Amino acid sequence: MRKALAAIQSAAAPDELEALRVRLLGRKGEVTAQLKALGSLPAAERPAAGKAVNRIKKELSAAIAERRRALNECLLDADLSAGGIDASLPGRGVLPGSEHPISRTLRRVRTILAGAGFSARSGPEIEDEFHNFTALNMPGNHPARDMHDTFYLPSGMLLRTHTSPVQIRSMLAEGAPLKIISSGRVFRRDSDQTHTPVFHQVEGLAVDEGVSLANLKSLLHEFAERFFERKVQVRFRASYFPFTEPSAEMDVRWEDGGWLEILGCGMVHPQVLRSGGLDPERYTGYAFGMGVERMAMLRYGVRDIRRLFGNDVRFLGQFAP
Amino acid sequence: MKVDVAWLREWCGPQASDRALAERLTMAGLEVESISGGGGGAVLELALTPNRADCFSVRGVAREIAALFGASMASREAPAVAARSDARRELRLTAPEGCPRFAGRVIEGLDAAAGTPGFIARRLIAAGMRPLHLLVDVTNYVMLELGQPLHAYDLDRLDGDLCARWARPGETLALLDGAEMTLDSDVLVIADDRQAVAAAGIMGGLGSAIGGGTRSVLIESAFFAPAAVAGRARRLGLQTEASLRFERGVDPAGQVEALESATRLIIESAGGRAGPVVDSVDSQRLPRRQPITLRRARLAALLGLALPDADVAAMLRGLGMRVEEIRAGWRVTPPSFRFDLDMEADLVEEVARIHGYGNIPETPARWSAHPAPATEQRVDEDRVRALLIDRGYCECVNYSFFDEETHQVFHAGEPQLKLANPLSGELSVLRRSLWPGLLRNYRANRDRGTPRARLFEIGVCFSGEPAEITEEKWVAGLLAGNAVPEQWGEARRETDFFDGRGDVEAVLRLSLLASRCRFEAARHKALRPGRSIRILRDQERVGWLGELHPRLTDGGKGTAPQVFALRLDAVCDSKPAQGARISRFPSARRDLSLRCPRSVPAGEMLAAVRAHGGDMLREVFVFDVYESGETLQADIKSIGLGLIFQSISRTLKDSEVDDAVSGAVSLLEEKFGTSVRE
Repeated sequence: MRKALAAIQSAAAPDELEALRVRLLGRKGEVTAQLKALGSLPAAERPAAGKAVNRIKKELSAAIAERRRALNECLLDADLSAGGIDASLPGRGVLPGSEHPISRTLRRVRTILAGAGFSARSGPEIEDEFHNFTALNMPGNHPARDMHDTFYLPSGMLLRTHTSPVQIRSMLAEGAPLKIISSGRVFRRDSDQTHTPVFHQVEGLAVDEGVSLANLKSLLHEFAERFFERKVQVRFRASYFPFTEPSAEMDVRWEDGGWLEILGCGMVHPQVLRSGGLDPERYTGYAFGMGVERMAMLRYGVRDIRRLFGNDVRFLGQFAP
Repeated sequence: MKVDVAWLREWCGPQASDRALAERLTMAGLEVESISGGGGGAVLELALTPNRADCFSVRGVAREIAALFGASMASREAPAVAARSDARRELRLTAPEGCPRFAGRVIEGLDAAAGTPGFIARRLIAAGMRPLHLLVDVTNYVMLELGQPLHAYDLDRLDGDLCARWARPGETLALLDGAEMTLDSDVLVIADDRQAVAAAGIMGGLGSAIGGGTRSVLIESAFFAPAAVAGRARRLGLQTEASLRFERGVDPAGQVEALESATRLIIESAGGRAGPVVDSVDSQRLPRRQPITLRRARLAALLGLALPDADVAAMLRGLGMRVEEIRAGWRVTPPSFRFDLDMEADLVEEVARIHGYGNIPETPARWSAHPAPATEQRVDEDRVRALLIDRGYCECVNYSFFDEETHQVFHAGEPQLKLANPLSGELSVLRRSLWPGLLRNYRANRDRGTPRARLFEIGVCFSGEPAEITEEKWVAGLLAGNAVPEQWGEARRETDFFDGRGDVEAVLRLSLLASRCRFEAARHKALRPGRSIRILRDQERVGWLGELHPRLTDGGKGTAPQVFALRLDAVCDSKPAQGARISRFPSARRDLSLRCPRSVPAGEMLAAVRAHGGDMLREVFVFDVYESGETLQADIKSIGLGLIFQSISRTLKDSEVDDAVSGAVSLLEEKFGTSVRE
């Protein structure tokens, strides 16, 4: 019996297995012979002996069936393998392209701030004096206008020099409380190594009762850590913008130990709240704004701002889809 | 502005390193961009913000240091120089709204050969100025030290007395730098009895300029109202040290002091006899600092921090303010030189600055529990962007303007939307479409060795008339080169119209209202006739798709790029899906092979079959098109249509389906002249 099982296990081909089956279980096979021999035993021994032989027959049948399955599997495998392909070749079709780093940066800023309850608003790129300057506390000959070299249209309209006009439009349209971000293209008549006449800004505005500079500091510190995805040290320096008072700039401590300015911010100037139709005695607010190109350059290690407008696919292809 | 540190320390010298001074100034809003030199010769380069006119001098910065370090200012009152002659000129306030204070003094009998003392020359050079002539150098030196711009006239070249008045229409003035200016009537001038001799607060005239032979001088020390100077210098293209200070505001109380200081320095070097100080003042028109109420509660609310009363008062007093305690807080009168302080918020900033922004806590805002919107009424712009990127496109960003020639090529016949003051001709016309930018990007990349292009941009384009410009956001794409990147597994094929159309259909399909869109053949100046279509949504024109006109594709180099453009706001409105029942009965497919004239648009055949098909017809599609072949005549094409029938409520009988197919066949025959191929 043990020998028979071993022979079944080592049968290397279906033919060999079939021959083995015939030799063991066939009409003239060894097990069949034993069954036939039962008749010559005394009647008292017959049931027990019959049971034993039938058990052997059953076991051998099962072993043969199992071995046949295994052999067939092997055959199928060998057959299929013969029809194999060179799976090392690359796949068909088109791989994704890439998202522009400016879009990507804007999207990340929006996502981070959406978590803090800010929702996006937009406004026109062609603006008027009132929304771009006057309402933002930069009337007529305000010296801060020196920093806003402006493109004008023959009609007297202008290309917005910042995204802040959206603040005024939103306050007038929606009132308070308000928590918005506005982003998009802005234009200044300036072009050199570090300035392009078109660039992008994103800014936030929160107006409510009891909004404080301490709230602003908290939000922006956390924003910087989300944006750069690491713990960062920040500092707030006093600065000046006509539309905020107090005003500050936020610097981030960079890996080299130096401080890098990343954004301007402050408490909304009472005059700006009034321009937006809100009572500065009741409401306070903070605003902050940053250059998208600058944020993208810091995040992705881009040195020359003009690269961002060169549209060289070798450059663009480095960015994730 | 550059400031010599040693000079600064003569005015206020706290025990602190130069670096520590720079650090505190920076944090308080007087940004030190660099410290150069060192070892006693250090110079701070300050980037002053336009509100801090009072810091446009050594003394001004010293005051700031005194406040920040709690140090005291040195007492450096310039002693009055007694008059030793009667020589004087009257200084008239003809336009007191522009010049409410006009002080001056004559000095006669100067040694014309006297040179500028070394310390003055050194400090001017450190500040980035060039020593020129003792009298000019002294006026500059006093301006750097005290912030009061002075002007020196050659007395012998003046005709009579001086007045400050508005320029007369068409009046001209030859300036020190040699330029001849025609002045507008809103420019304030200093004039003698004959003519204008200086653009007040901006630049002196050539006719009365100090020269090698000057023996008598009139020094002008005036207060020009910021509103009378602001903007003029920029308009005339003449921003000077004087105009920068006057338009931001100089101390209206500092004219005589500056005059005395200059007199003393001149006489020390060149001798001479000073005449009496003439000081014409219209005190009603001089700016006067009004008291401002600073409420304790407001201060704490804005900063998010309550400070001890005594600290607040001490900080404000340290800045030279008069502080009176009142029940709600403080009544504060700023000093005459602080033009930037006229409301409560300004004082809040002063307290924050001196206390240090770093010492204000970071307090998270109270949690606001408004659920965020997640609309299905519109397709998000980022979704469109992601779709194109996933289909292999690179996103580009181009400027919003191009040159007139580009406008002509793409938009001949439409008005140019020009900038009034462009940077250059290349950037002078607002873009009406995104294609010129993408075409330029394609060419540049192709010439750098990347001939296959999938480029897109999302941005605002402008339309309408110059007087009434409309802004619309578009998405546009350009496709060129191989249909798929060259590889082993797919036959090489040039990108064609239908690659572009596939991408457009995919963008449109982002909206569940896409079925409202139609495509129709139409001509566009930039597109090749016969390969251009317009996209409509209901009746509204929302975009274009086609092959660029060969005229635009610098002939011969490969096949022409395909382009598309869609008005984003017009194709993005959508709706939530409505789940409908799905049939559980079998479907039946029938294929039709049809011959028809080449001119019959397949799209119309599909539409006709669809319209005729009723509830049973689930789907119809084109599975094949032959346009040329041995067996077909040149003006005949062969089209294969697949029709799938299915009912929502029962299994269709073969006979019903056959009837429906023959109905479609006769409809097509009648309408388009098709015949079934055997």
